[in-house]
Amino acid sequence: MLNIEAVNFHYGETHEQCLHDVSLHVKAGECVLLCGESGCGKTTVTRLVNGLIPHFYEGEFSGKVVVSGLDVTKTMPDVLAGTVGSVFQNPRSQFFSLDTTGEIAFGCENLGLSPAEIRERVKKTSAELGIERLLDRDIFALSGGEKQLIAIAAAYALSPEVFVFDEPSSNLDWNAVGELAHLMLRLKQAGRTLIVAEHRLYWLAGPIDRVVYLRGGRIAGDWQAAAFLALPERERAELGLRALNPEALRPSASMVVWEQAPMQEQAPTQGRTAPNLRVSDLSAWYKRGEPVLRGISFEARPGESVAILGGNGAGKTTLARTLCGLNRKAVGKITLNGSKLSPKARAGPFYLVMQESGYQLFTDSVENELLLSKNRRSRPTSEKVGEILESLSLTDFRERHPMSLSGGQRQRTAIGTAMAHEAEVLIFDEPTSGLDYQNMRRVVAVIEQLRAEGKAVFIITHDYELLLAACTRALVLEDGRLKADFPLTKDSIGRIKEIFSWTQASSK
Amino acid sequence: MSLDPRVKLLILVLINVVVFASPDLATEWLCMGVIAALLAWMGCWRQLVYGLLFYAGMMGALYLCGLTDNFLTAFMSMMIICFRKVIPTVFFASGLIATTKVGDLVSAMQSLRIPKVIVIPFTVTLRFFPTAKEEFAAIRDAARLRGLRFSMERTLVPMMMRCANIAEELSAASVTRGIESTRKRTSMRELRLGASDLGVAVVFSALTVFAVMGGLPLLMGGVPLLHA
Repeated sequence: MLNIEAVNFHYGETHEQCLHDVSLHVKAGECVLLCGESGCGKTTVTRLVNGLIPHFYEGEFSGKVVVSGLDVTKTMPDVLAGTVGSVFQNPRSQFFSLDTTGEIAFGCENLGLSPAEIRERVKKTSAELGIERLLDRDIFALSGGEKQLIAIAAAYALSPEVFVFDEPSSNLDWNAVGELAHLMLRLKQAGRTLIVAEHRLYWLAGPIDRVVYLRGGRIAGDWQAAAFLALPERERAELGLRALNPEALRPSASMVVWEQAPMQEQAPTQGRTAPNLRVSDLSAWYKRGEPVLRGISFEARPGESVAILGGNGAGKTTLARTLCGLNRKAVGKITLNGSKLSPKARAGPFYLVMQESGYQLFTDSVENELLLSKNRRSRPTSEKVGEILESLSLTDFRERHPMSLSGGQRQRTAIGTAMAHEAEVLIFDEPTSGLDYQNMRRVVAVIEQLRAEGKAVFIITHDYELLLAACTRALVLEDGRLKADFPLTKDSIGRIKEIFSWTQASSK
Repeated sequence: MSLDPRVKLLILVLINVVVFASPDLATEWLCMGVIAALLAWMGCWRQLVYGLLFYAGMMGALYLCGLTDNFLTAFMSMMIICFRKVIPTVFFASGLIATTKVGDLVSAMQSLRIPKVIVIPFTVTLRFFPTAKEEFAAIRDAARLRGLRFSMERTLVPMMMRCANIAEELSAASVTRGIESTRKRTSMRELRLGASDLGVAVVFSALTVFAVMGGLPLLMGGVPLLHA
């Protein structure tokens, strides 16, 4: 079905070789996982398959790629569109229409199918994928997960034999990932060939037949699924891969923090036992109508790291935005170090590290970013900036433009700005979405450092691996109410597993 | 009631002709009245109320300027009149946007044989408004988190960067969905002109002819009812 023969490639603007002598043969109906650390070339391989290389991304290319009998380099992308369907990482930037039905029809309209045929295909697609409920909806009002389902449907409507997915789960919560997994199984049962590049692996354990591992642009491993799933945890971590089977993640596995588990059981450390943050009876609204948060109360101590858990619409984001003073439609009391703070006064002591930290950088260099402050008095000294950069391993990038950094480096720069301005409460929104194992470990290290400095850390996450490695407590939100608030210990881990409930999600 | 998007586009053009050909205020009022009736018929009550209130406000301001006679008020009257001339078009356009799907509008443009090089950028532009809004809100939030005041440079530079990124991803996605196809593009919805489309088109065409020929003063023997 797919033959990649001795492909070498590097992108036009760089001189670094991106793929070295890559050869890959995939049989019809096979589901192949492409994995490896960030920058290993797995996304580039997906672009070979859907023809974006060489038709869209230019560069130096040698070798041969044949999909379903078509030579990709000699076939126009619109002909390939009917053979290879593509689903991308970012659900926000792969839509053309404003409504879902129009989006599913978009490809068919481009290829000039008759109106009756297009209507038939839209109907068939939505029925076969079980997404009728999403038809005729405003795309901008859909959740990330629903957008990904529409992206798959839009590709499916052209009835391609091969699907390529480029990190499709990056921006999704675990419920949405469950639905995505379910849909992948359906595609596989329908005999389609699936090529998936991914960091998060656990959800693919069901559909995959084969795993191809890339390192530095070369294929460095090729396993049958069963053999790959049987790899010991240690070896998996050495390959720089995320967990395959979260159920099997033992707290002791490679988790440094958990090897010192008693520390967490005895949390709070260093004698700083008094809570410095108190939230009492907080209710908040988003636009008009029903409150999104209802009467939430909790406390946090310096050095604590609290996971905020809950499904879609539970109020996690609203809680974060209200704490930071971004959402002002709220009643209740928030005190920090004994003084009640208005929403405006909270911007500063409270800081939100956004999922896309690229938004949070405003200047032309990493150093200036840390120096940028609302007034002269609050400007940090340059020694302090130096220390912070050192602690975040950003010293070498001091003069670099933030936009030229990798995602992980940008995220650390954003954290650095909060440290430079002495924020006391840091809230992370999905800090590890789309990160590989190395980068996830880095986030964990930064969080540990913030805790050691006595910051209170909150983490909105759907990443079980991160949770095990970095959190000491969990707040569980449901329907805007605080459903549970408990310390994370070896005994309470069962409750967390219940919340994540992969088994339910993947067997749905 | 829904109208064929092609008829809506036609009306949009005709309203412009009517407004700029209107010899006096009364004809302009007649035009506003016809548009108001059409919006009511399409069920755009909100646009109807806001549009009429806004127009009334403009007329009120014009009246106040007319009470005294000096350079400043004369200048302001002139500005208001220029601005007022655009209101009927915007009035109807608000109803058009509220009742038309982008896909339908695109199909309409295609069936009018407007070339693809215009239609595709037009779609992308429409698609970009909500995105730009989201991006802008996110950047504003980020600035507020750090207590930074709004500044053009701090807002527009990250905004450009983000939009350039999104534009590239969007283009890559569209290439894999066959946007570069040389075949004639089709549309899921087939457009058909109904009796109501025809009726509305006739009403507006008549109004246009009437305004161009001289408007209401024509009936009154050439005496303008109200000066514009």
